Amino acid sequence: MAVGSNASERQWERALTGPGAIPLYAGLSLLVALLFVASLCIGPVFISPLKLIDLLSGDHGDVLSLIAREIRLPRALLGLAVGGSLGLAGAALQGLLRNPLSEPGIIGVSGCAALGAVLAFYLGAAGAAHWILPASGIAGALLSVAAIYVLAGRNASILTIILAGVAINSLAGALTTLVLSLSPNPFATYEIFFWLLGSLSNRSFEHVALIAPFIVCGWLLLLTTGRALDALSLGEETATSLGIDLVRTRAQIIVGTALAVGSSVAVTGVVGFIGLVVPHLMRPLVGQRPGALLGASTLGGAALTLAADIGTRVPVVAGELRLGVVTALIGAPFFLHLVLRKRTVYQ
Amino acid sequence: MLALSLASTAVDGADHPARIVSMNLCTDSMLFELVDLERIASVSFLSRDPNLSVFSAEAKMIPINRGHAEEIVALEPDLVITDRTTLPFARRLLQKFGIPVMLFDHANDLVEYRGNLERLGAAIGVADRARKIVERIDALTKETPDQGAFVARPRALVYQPNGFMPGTRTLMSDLMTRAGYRNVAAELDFTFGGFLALESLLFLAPDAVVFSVRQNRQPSLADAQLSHPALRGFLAGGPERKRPLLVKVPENLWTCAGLFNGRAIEILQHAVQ
Repeated sequence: MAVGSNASERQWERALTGPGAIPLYAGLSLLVALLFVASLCIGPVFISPLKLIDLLSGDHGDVLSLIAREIRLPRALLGLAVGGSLGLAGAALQGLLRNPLSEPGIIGVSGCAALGAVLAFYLGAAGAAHWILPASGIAGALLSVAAIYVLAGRNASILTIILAGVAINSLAGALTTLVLSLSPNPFATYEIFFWLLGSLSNRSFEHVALIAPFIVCGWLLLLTTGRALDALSLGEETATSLGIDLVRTRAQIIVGTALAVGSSVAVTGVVGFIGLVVPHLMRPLVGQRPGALLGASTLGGAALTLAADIGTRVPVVAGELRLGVVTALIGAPFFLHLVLRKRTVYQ
Repeated sequence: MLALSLASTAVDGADHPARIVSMNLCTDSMLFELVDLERIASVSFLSRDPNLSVFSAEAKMIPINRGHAEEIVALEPDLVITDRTTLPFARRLLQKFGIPVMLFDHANDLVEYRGNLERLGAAIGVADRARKIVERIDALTKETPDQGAFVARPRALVYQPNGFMPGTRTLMSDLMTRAGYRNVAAELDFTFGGFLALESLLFLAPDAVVFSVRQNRQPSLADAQLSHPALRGFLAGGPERKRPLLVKVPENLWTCAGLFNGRAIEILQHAVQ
């Protein structure tokens, strides 16, 4: 057994570092970097990349540097953090529940995080201390992941998990709308759109600083479950016999998802589709291995979110499109194409 | 059209409507300016909000409505007044019940308000009182012409929660122009208004930013946008950039047209001196 374990471990490591993995990660990183720069340049006012270096290198106190430093930079950083979190959490949940449909949006994690944040924000609790807003989002997310796991039970079918998730998601959405409708502030009603469809517009460094520690912890917890997820793909018993501590893995993924997704949603609202689509897009590139999918989905999620956020600035409507609308517009056709091509695999 | 004819049959002759209901915040305040409380059977619930109406104390003394046809029918009013754009279905129901409904166009400037006042005054038998208010409004508009030395005027924009910016054909714009500003909305061809991204605001670099303020606002993301660090940085000025003027006008002074708009003009004029 020990020999087999070592052999398979070597195999995994080779797959991770061998030919294929490095070009993939380099390519994805380059894509993310390009989209990050594009996100800083594109907007109602175009800023050339050269001018950007000048603007970001020192505080000039002029209007353009305010736009670059205080509006676009935090926005791009949030796109990176939130998109990465959603992609990563989607990949981890799909690996843990061994279910291609489990992702933060569908199983209600994002919805519950939004509910937590909305309660804290509109009832005034978030005004007491900065950390309360992300903490409430995390608490909401934690409750829903734990609930799914308990409801789904040890050997739940794919259907049970999804149905439980859909129920929790609808409930969270309804309660979010209810809380916003009851707020005495007339603008709160319009903000239902923000919380249910997500947006990165007008976020600031205060938001980045608010969620950064939680995002880092969440990513660390999730990214280190790769080996366990690979083993888990062979079945729980096999994984246990390979020396994987399943209780720990589950706890890591539940807490990691809650930290990363919960804090993200608390400042950007529910951004759908990223957690579902990205792991499916990346899966063929990493060779169906859940462990390797984690890193690739983080980068892929960041890239898709940055691209979608650039898309929201296309001046087709008064104001801005909602991020969730663009992620669905970009993501859904890709996803449909993938589903149709892989029809046989999913049957 | 039907509404107008119905209204006129009810108010013709000396038999003026005794119990009047208003269903819209702005027709509410017009009614408060024109008639005594005894004749007002009900006003919209919004009028009780001191952030929206200067008549909130008066509104607390009389019944309110939320624009549902059934609650208005139950009040048995002689006349219902409202804005042409609000609650079309409720209006149609009221007409079915035979209650006269008088419609007013939303007053986008003081001159339009003048017309509304005269019409309502004549319809409910208080033409004299309406004429007195019109005279005071005329005095106000004479002191504050809506055009003047155009170039010297500070370029100003009203920035409301969610980045909404009122356009040139709005009451806020009219009052701002009378107070001596030039509405930046004209540069963007915003007639009734539009949403302005924060970075577009910074790029437009107005000489003055006007906030419509409320007391004890409940938290909302829309309001949070007004305290974005980039906006604070812009308002603080820079080494080579003049510090823009920040003017705060209480929302209840210029949401609807009325004599109280004079106080909004005063605040705006005072800031620019």
